[in-house]
Amino acid sequence: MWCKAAFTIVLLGAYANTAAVAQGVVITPHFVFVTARDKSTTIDLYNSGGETADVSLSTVFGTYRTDSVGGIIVIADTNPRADAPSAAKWFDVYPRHVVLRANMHQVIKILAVPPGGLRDGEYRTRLIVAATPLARPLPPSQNGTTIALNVEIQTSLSMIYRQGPMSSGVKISDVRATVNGDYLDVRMHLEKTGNASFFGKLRGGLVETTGRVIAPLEVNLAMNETMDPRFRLPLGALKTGTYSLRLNISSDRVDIPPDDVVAVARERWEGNITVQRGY
Amino acid sequence: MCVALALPSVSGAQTALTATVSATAMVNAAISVASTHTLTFGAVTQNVSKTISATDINAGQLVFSGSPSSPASVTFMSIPSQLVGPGGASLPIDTFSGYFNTSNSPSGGTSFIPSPVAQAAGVSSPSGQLYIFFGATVHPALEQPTGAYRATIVMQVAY
Repeated sequence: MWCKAAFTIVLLGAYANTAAVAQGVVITPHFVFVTARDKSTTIDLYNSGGETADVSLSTVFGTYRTDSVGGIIVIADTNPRADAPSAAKWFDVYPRHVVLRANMHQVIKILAVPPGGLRDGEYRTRLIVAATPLARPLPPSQNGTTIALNVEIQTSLSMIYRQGPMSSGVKISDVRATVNGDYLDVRMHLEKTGNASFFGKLRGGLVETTGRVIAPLEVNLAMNETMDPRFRLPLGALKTGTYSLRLNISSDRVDIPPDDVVAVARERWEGNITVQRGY
Repeated sequence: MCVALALPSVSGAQTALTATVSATAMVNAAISVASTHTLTFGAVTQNVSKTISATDINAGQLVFSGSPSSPASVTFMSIPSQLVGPGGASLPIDTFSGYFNTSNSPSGGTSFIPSPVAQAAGVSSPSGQLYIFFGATVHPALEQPTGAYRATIVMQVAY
C-alpha cells in the first residue's frame, strides 16, 4: 500500500539555494569583428559563477530581424541560401569545448578561413556559447528524493568578417507613434544602406516647444538588414498635447572599438506627435 | 575604448634624467548571462501537483548583463515535459510561466510564457541588465519513486 510522502524537489541547480551566482559565463568582447587583413582574433570566457561550467561553442548563420510587433530578434538559419552572406562554415573556433572551473578564464581563438575567390563584402555568423553546470551526482534529500533541472544558457553574439571597402547607413521613414498606457510606442522603418551591418545608436525623444527633451529615447542598434523596430518611451506625467518627436541615427558606440564601427552619415527625422492621455 | 597614460617627466637640480612612460590598454565590453537563483519546489507530496509561479520567491532567476540600452532577445529554446529519475521513472513538469524586467523584481515586469519563440524581443535596459524570472508546475504521481530526477532547459540570449 502506498502512502503519501513528502519529498524535496529542487530545480535548476540543485544545490545553490541562495542568491549567489550559481552559473554564469562572461564573454569579452560582446561583438567579434575580423577583417581580411588580420583574419584572427580572440575572445575571453570567464566563469563568474560558483560552479564548474561545461562550455561549448558553435556557429550558425543569423540575422537581426523585427517580429510582428517590432521587437528585435535574431533569426538563426542552419541552412542558409547559397547567396546568403554566411561565414558560419568557415570561421574556425578553438577550442570548441572547454570545462571552465569557477573564476577561471579561457581564451578562445577565432580564425576566418574564407573560401578562395570570395567577393568583397561583409559575411557573418552567430557565435553560440552554450554553458551548463557540470553534471554531478545528486545527494538524496532527507527522505530520499532530489530532483534537478539543469539550465543550459546559450549566448548568441555577432561575428563579422569584412573584406574590401565597407559602407553603411540608415534612413528613417514611416514613423508611427501610439500611446500604450504609460508609454509611447514608436515604430519606424529603418532602411539599411551599404554593404556593412550598422552598429550605432538611435537617440531622440519627445521635445517641448522650449527644446527640452521630456521623454528621451536612446538605444544601441545593430542591423544586418532593413528593419521595422518599435521602441518604447516612458511618458511619465506627460500631459495630452502635441509634441515634436526627434530621431537621430549615428554611429556613436562607446562599447565597440572605433576601428570596428563603419561610420555612417547622421540621419535625422522630426515630426509632430499628438499624445492623448486617458486618465 | 583605448586609454593612454603618460607619466610626467622627472627632473631635479641633481639629476638630468627625464623619463616618459606610456601605457595603453584596450577596454572591451562584455556580456554575460547568469543563473542567480534556482527554481525551488521544496517539499512535494506524491499525487499532489505543485506550482511555483514566476513571481514566487522560489522562482528561477537569470540575469543578462550587456551594454546599457542595447536590445537583447530571450528565447527558451527547449523546455522539458518530463524529468527523468531512477530506473527511467518520469516526473511530468509543465505550465512554465515567466516575467522579464529591467529591474530585479518581477513586479512591474512583462509576463510571458516560455517557449521556443523569442519572448523578450528587443528589450533594452538603461542599466544593461535584464532580469528573467520563471516558474513551472510538477505533477508527482501517486506512486512516484523516490530518487534523483533530472532534465535540462535551454535558454538563449541573442545580443
